Amino acid sequence: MTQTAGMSGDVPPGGDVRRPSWRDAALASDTLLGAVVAVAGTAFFVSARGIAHPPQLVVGPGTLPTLIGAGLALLGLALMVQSLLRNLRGPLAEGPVTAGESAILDERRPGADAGVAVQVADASAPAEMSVPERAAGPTEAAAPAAGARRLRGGWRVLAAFALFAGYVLAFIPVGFLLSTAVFLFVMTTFAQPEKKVRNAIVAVVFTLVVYVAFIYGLGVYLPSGITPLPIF
Amino acid sequence: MFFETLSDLGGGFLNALSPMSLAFALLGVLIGTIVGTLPGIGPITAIAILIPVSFGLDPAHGLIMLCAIYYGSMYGGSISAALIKTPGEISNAVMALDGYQMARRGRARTALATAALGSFIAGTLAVIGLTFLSPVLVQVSRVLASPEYFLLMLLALVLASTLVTGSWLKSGIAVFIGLAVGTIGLDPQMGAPRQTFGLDMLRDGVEFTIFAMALFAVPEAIRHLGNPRGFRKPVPIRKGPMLNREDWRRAAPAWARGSGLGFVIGVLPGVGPTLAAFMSYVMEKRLFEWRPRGRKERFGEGAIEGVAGPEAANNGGVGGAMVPLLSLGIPGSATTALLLVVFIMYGLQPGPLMFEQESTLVWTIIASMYIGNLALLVLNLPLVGLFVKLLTIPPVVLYAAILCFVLIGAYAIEYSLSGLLLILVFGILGYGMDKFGIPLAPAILALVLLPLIESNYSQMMQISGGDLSVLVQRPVSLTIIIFTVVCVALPPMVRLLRRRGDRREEKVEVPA
Repeated sequence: MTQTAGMSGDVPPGGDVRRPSWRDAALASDTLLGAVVAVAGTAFFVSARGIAHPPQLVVGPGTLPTLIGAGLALLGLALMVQSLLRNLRGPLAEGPVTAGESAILDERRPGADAGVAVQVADASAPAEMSVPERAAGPTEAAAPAAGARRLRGGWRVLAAFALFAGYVLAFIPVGFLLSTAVFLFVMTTFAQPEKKVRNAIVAVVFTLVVYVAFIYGLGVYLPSGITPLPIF
Repeated sequence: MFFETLSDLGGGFLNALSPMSLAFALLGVLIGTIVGTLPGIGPITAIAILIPVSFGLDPAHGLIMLCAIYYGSMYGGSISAALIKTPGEISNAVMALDGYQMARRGRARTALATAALGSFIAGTLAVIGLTFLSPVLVQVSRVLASPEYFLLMLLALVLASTLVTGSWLKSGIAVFIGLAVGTIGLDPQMGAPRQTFGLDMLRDGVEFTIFAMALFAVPEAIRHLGNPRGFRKPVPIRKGPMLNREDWRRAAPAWARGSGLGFVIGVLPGVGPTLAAFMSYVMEKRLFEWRPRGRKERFGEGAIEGVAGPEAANNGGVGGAMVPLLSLGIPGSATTALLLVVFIMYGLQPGPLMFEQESTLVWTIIASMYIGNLALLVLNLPLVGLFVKLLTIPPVVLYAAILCFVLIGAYAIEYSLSGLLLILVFGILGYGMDKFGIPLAPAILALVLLPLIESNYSQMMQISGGDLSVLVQRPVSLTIIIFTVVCVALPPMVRLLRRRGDRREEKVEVPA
């Protein structure tokens, strides 16, 4: 259903035609996603059931949250079933990452190479279009090296999130100036260790310019924390 | 009514042409274009980050500026899409197809001028449409009551989750995530906290701008910082004529088609510029292949129609989406949802009442949209070389700075730690959603619509005594229901029919 029409019949370039197993189908990303959504929806539903309903109201504070939780759980379940069925049917089933939104020109993601197949509204909207150029299948990215790279990429994303979390927690107690300058330097150096000098200059200049602009130009307060510079 | 509208608009122009208003419109377009040109930043991020900038302004100037920022960032997104193939947001994505191909073939200047002219033409036509359609809708709205409003918002969500790119199950999940987040916090009837799961930071609910910034800006920035990759080198813009006669002949009809299509789609609740641009691209492709008329290039390889149509549709959609926003208070897309929040922030409630009570302000804003569109054209054609310089900013610096701006923005809204923590939490959620292909925009729209849905739903149920049949007994609400069903059922049916037709066609065309 989500496949690019021309591709679904062909054997993938890798020629890997093994039989789909229940295990693979259960571990497919959409199956897991559906399960997570279903659990979250159920939790939301259960919590909403606990909201007191004043008798004089037809629609209480819990009415909509209950419906929404149930809806979320059902949609998650539906996604799970759809993904299971699809993955049991054929090896190509995972498809070109249904993220139609980002599939377009996404060069960030391995696999979804540059405008391979732009699908407008695969399930319901009027049409689909594909860019003829470079119509290589996403299956090509399945080389073993790509897997390792993706794993390392995942850790680096996690580390970037951790740095950002540190910044979020330090922002108020440490103060804007110090926390921002340090965060900018650490984050840019984490991403590009070979450019320490530039990173340091950017961190200091950016922080000061933004500080002055917001405090004096826009009258937006920024936390001073333990930073010795006064807000004057 | 026609002349009344004209005189209202005239009064609006008197205000909008005052030096201060003019300055804010120009400033907004300029800032919007600059921020929108930055790779990976589109209208939603641009407006959300720039909301603190407008805090100190009075409503008229603040709204004029933020609307202008909207236009500017739309156009800025096309610049980065055409020159480095990195659109700011999905609505500019189409420009990265034929626009980028034109640029690669040495026609960057033509591509950008085509986009700018198309934006101007479609934007202006759409504002004209807005000018004359809004008063009509305000009249129509007299027969609308809570059941109709409730259904219109439902329609918006249904369209937002079915007429999108990708799996409709996933966009449905996005809608429900937005709704669920919307219910968190103090409930509107009893004023007691609900669905907070015992967390203090959820007590007051989730501020919309925080949700939008966390979903749109944070994942994008973190992904880049985790795995930095340089942007493409911007395609150089060669000197030369912007459009030659052949270009004009081919672009003009595409502009016209795109403007019309964009406006109509924009007016529909729930869908906006993005769908307009995509549909226009598909339409131009079909027309092109149907009658190639000895053109040198193929569609998708730098056909000017593929730039002119979608770029016009895009901006026509922006104007169209303003219609239900201003006259009914129902946002048509994620970005207009953000604008609705801005209106509310200034103590205004868009809808029929606003046209009565704040008539001067409304018409000033509408008049400023004409000016903003013109400013876009006047600024962008000569300044494009300057904007291109922005594309050479090192991405790592850019994305780290975006994270700082996001935190400043979140802090400026609530001055509390919980806002900052929510940025982190929903940033992680947004990253996960994006990773699994759940679209982000429907969630944002749903979050804004939830309070409106809830109040209209409970009002309707209170009056009818819990009887849902009121929805089919009222003629207007029944019409909306039928319309919704048609919208949902039509595309799959058309596809089914087309599939059969294709098979037959194939047999006929095989010899060729």
